[in-house]
Amino acid sequence: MADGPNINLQSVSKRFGEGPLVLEEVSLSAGSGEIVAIVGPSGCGKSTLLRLIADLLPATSGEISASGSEVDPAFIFQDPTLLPWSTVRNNISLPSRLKGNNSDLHGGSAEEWANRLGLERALDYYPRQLSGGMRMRVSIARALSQAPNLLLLDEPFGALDAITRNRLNEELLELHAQSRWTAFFVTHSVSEAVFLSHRVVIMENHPGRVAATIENPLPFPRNAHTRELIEFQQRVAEATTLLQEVLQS
Amino acid sequence: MRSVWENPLKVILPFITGCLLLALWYGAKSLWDLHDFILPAPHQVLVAFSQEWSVLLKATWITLLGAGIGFSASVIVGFSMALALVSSKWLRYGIYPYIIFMQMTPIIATAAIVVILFDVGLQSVALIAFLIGFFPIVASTLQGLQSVPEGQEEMFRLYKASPLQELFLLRVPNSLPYFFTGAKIAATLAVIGSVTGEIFAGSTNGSGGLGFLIMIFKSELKIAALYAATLICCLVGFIFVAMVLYFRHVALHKWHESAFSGKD
Repeated sequence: MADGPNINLQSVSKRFGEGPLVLEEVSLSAGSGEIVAIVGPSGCGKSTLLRLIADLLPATSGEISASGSEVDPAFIFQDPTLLPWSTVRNNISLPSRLKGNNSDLHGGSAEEWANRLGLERALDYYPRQLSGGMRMRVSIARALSQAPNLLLLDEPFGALDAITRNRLNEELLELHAQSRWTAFFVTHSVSEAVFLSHRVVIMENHPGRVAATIENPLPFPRNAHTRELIEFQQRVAEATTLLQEVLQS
Repeated sequence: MRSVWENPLKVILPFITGCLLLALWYGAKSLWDLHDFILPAPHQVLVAFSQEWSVLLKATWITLLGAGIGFSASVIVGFSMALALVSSKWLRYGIYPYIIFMQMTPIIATAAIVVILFDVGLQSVALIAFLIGFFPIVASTLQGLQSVPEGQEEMFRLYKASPLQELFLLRVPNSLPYFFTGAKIAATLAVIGSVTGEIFAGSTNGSGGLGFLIMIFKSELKIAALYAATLICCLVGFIFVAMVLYFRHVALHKWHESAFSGKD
């Protein structure tokens, strides 16, 4: 498995049709295996930005480039986007079936991925039989079963309760320690952003622009105890202040 | 199914309503002193059942056949048509307005034209049942094929799914609940279409379906038997709808809300 690519966005702008600019001159970068968190007010184009990086949408101007290794992206949406008519097992193996390599899940079978995310007893369940947290785990397993080297996460844990959310954050970092993908993580939660990322990008609204970038030198591995550290809380406070300034301006 | 036993009111209340309706029927008959060939009493309808049962049974079979052929055809052609329409914008723009237009024509008028074109007999009856059930199936299946959640569509694009994969692994399963809603409507309509067709085209060498029988009983002033035939039409409709609900349950109960909540 290759390490994650370096991703570089240079003055990227986006407008839909003749509408107003959604993103204006966004420049940011993520080194190989880095997690970049993006926070900002609603409607600042965070989700659009992820879709540009994933090549689901074309940029209006500017350049998005990757180096180091060929990009193999996976997307984790805010909604788990599971197929309700498929079991957990079939949902996890869907991407490989779409790619036509039926038996060949990279980095382990559907069962192995289910085990890694604590879904081993839910393999034959349908999505409607699962809790919100479990559904999101299936969604993560589906994305990671492809051994992507670039992960795009669009507020994946926004609809979950705080305890489940914290646990999934910790699990995500454990998985990252094993595979070293590059990631962009959009969230509304400053503490989630600080916990997960090497760097926090704060965006502002109308049009979406980068307002500030905060380097986050908290050492890895991070775990549940990291949240109790004074440095962690200082970073959260610092980022929260900055975000509030952006929201008020 | 289970809710019937959990909630006895669901049995008792319809029973009470039924008794009230029967009382109203008898009451109206004696109050206005209605003659038997205007409004026969319920027990007279029962007698007519027993007297005419072999004729009724034969006619029921013929009606079932016409409605069954028409309904099956509307399912097969309707579903295929929906697949074609969702796959091609050209077809959708070119054909769909005419399908809607066709649906606006009253079935009685359609029936008259079909009989002129295709002569009396089963072929015309089945065709009328087909025409009337076709539209609800096309319309609801098409809606199901088109209303895939955006996130799932993006996911399929991200994993580079082919158009065929998107159609059969995403759109078709997503359309099934919609399809069954359409099929349920089509099942009711197929029986109505079949009986209407028989009223126009029912007679083939002297025997015909329930619609034909209704015309005969009317001309012979066998009014109680006419009521009996009408009741059987309702029963045939129920059989068709029950069949669709059964298949819906088989296809959807594992994953879809509507199929396991026990509603409708």
